[in-house]
Amino acid sequence: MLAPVNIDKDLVAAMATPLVLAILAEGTSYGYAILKRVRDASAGEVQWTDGMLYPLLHRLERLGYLVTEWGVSDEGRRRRYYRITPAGEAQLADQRRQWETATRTLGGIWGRTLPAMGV
Amino acid sequence: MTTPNKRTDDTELLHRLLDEAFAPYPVTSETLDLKQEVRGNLTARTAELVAEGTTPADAARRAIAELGDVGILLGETPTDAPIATESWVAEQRRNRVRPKPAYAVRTALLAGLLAAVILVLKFEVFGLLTVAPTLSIAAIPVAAALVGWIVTDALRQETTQNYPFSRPTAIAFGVAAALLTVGLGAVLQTVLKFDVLWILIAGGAVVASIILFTYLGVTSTNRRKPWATRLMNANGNVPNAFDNDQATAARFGIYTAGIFTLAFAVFIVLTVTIGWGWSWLALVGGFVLMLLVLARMLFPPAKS
Repeated sequence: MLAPVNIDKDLVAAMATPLVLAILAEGTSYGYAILKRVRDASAGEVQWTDGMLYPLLHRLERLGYLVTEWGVSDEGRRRRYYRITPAGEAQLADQRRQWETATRTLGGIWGRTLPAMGV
Repeated sequence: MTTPNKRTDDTELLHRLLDEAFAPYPVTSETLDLKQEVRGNLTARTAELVAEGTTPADAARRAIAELGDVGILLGETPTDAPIATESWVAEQRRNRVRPKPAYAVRTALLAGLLAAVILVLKFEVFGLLTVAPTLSIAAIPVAAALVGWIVTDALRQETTQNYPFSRPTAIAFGVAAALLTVGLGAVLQTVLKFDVLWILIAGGAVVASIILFTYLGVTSTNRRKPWATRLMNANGNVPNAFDNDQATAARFGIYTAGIFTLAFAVFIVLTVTIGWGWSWLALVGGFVLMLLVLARMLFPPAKS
């Protein structure tokens, strides 16, 4: 079992946008569900707070990559939902190409293939 | 089945902590929207922590701590200048919380019962009524229970300016008020028929009540609603030492317990030696000394 990884904050910041856009590309979601998806996808190694997520969501909305709409939760409370836009999907595709290039380059230099790393 | 709006004591804690976190920031539609969104997240996070074994109160505090700086969420800094002032009257009207009808009826009935008990005891003291000693003694715990119930019920109600106390804290305040009532009832019994035992009961009950009230006063969290806090700060609310330093408040509580323990001891000695005529001065002296200590500790003189 691998030891927990302490991810550099610059790396966390860099992957934040493609991570959120990728989660919204799976389907419309809301704040807490996005945080939980990040935590589950990273097996608990990446844990975001509301303070990290919401400024990012506001920025992505200003850039036109997502839109928000109010709905109602199962408990009857108002809840804000986030949905990716076509511009957001284009940005996600571009970010994905960049990350695939970066991880392929690193994997080549480190001498390990991506599947062997479990990525 | 729990209705969406029913709040337990611990969800009240979560909502109060969230209100306090947003209190320094201007109230705008954007702030309110974000607050509502964050409230849902925090509720879900708290439930998740509770499912993992954390106590509800600790889960609420941890969820709020994970929220981080609300200013970062809003992209703002807290405003130090007084918020554009709305008058107290306008804010009271806007935030008005009406008493629940059931609470009003309950209080009226309990207060009526308490008044009847007090009247009977009063008539007995002034010789207008003869009451069997057993009934006269039984009236004390009855009155204490009624007072405790009224106090607990009152503190569990939300008002325009304050959130309700949690159930355990409200019950503790009720117990303290009941102890004080027992002390006063014991003093009444002493007036009817002098007995050192009743004096000891009176002293013990009153001192215990003071200690409990002081402990609760020091450890209770702030119940004031953010709008009231904001207006009080904007209107130049004078800060005191107890607001800024809980240790000072705790010291005052200990001094008060010591002062009244001494006052009751002197009262007992004087009553036994020289009689009722002058012994009550010991209690008056203890009360005056407590006020002087309170003034000195609450508003200490400025250091040069």
